[in-house]
Amino acid sequence: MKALLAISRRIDTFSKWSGVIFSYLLIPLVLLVVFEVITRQFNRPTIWTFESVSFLYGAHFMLVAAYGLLTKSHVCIDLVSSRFSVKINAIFSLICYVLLFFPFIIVFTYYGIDYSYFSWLYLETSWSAWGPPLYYIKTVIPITAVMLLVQGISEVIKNIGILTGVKEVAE
Amino acid sequence: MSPELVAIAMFAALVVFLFMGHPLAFVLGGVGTFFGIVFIGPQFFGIFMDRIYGTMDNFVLVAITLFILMGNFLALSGIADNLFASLRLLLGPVRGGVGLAVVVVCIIFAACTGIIGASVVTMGLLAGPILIRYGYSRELTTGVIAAGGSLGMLIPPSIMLIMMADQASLSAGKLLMCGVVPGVTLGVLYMIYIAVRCGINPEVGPPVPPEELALVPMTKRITDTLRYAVPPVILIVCVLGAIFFGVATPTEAAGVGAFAAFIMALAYRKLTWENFKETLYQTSRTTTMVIIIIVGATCFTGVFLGLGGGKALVNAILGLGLGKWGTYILIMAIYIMLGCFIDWIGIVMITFPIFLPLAQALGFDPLWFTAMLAINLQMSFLTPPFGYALFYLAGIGLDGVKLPHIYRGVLPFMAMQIVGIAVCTIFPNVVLWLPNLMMGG
Repeated sequence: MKALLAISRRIDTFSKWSGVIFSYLLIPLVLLVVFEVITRQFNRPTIWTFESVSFLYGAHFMLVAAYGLLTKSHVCIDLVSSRFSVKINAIFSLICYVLLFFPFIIVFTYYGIDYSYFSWLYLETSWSAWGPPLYYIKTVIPITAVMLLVQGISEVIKNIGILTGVKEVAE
Repeated sequence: MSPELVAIAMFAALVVFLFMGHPLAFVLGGVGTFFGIVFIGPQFFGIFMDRIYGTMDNFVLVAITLFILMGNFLALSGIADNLFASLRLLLGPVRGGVGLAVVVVCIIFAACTGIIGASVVTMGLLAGPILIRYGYSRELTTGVIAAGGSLGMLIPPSIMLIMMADQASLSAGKLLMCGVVPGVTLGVLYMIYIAVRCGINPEVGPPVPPEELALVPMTKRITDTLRYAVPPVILIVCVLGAIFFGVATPTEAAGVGAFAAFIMALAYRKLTWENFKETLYQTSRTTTMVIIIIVGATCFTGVFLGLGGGKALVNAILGLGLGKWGTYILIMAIYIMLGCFIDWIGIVMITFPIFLPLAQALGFDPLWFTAMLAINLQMSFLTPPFGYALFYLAGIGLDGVKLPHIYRGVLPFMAMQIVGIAVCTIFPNVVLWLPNLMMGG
């Protein structure tokens, strides 16, 4: 169990850093939107800003999803569960991870790999005048899925730790 | 399995797992996956990937990220604190003046943020202890904060309205404009109520004692108020004006707004490298929370609609034979009930695929109908026993405030909201006037 918790801590550190790093995508996102507005005002619109903005936004919210899971930012309803003990909650949590989270994320991962694989196979590009490659941004989908999968494993380890009493509950 | 049974089974699974406290995004995704595999088969998941990519490639939703960033920079610049500090002295001599200051700050701050939890908590921490110290009754204190804080959902730039527009395939700019008049009117109604109530009975909301007022001269009160009110108001007017006049899309306005808010935080000398980083991380956490729910929900609603659950529910509701307005009242009642348990993102994602076709079948204007749902949702968070705003407020733990105080406190404000909903229903132009004036679209 101790070894598992050590793995879980490593995963947490990884997810934390992924969130920290990908948060900086926000800076080019804002600057690019401002740039687009300015260039358009001077009647010099560029063909590439519109799609680049979407790419940055899409990559940002996906790639920080695992960080969100780590920091418990994803909305949940604790109206009922908050009335139970920490251990009962750990059991609830394990049930949900096994029945919902992992099936969903495994499907997400498997079909995500499939989806981006075909994009790479045909070296898919956008239909717009700029025509940027789409396989990079589509690869974000399986990467996000794998990161969520790994962070989910860490959450499960922590819950088992709480149940077996190995992990101290920080309140 | 018949579509009716599928619909009921999917919702039952949703409710059970939600109450186990699992994140909404993954409950939606997980339930969708289960029913998708069992009843549709793997071919569904290819479509699901397309939907995820569609969410990533959605230019309107970029506005959500950018408005959240803008709100966080504005929160960082400390305008809420400073505006409240100066405004409460300016309005201090009046009975109930501090309460009025809270509503004004809420209206301005609401327009800056747009996530209800944030404004209720911020205002609760900021104004709650002060109101109680000045001798405001616990009921009035909590009522003002809960009602004022919830306005953030309605007054643009509201994240909720952008998401609703996206789900309902409406123009985000127009829907944002729908929120302005009802939101501000509600704010003004709250202020009238506070002024009248405290005017009649100063016990519940006394003026600031003259000794304290004497410490700060009138001119300083006015200049301080202007100093902290004018820049954010200009920012909001510019952002909304750009959308209104069709100069910029909501996304572009949000981007420029976020940049301007950054400059503002800099100008108020509140920006350090540390809290700049923290603002980015906070924005990441909130953004991914909101948008990953959309991803999970596409899986759920895709399966739900694919199995005919949507059509079954629409037919079931139409089959009740309540007529156009009976159904409208039913939908509004359902929303108030859902607001007790689920927060707005979940409600929008789960109910829109059912209620919008229903509204269309009954011949409602989709823009007006969606705006009404938004106004209603804003109220549902104040509805005892479970409204979200109430719990946020109880969670702050104000001195001597118990849930019953909050329940009694929000009742008069709920009454005003019901009046507001009735007015907007009878006179749809209250909602539609501003968007109809909009140029372009």
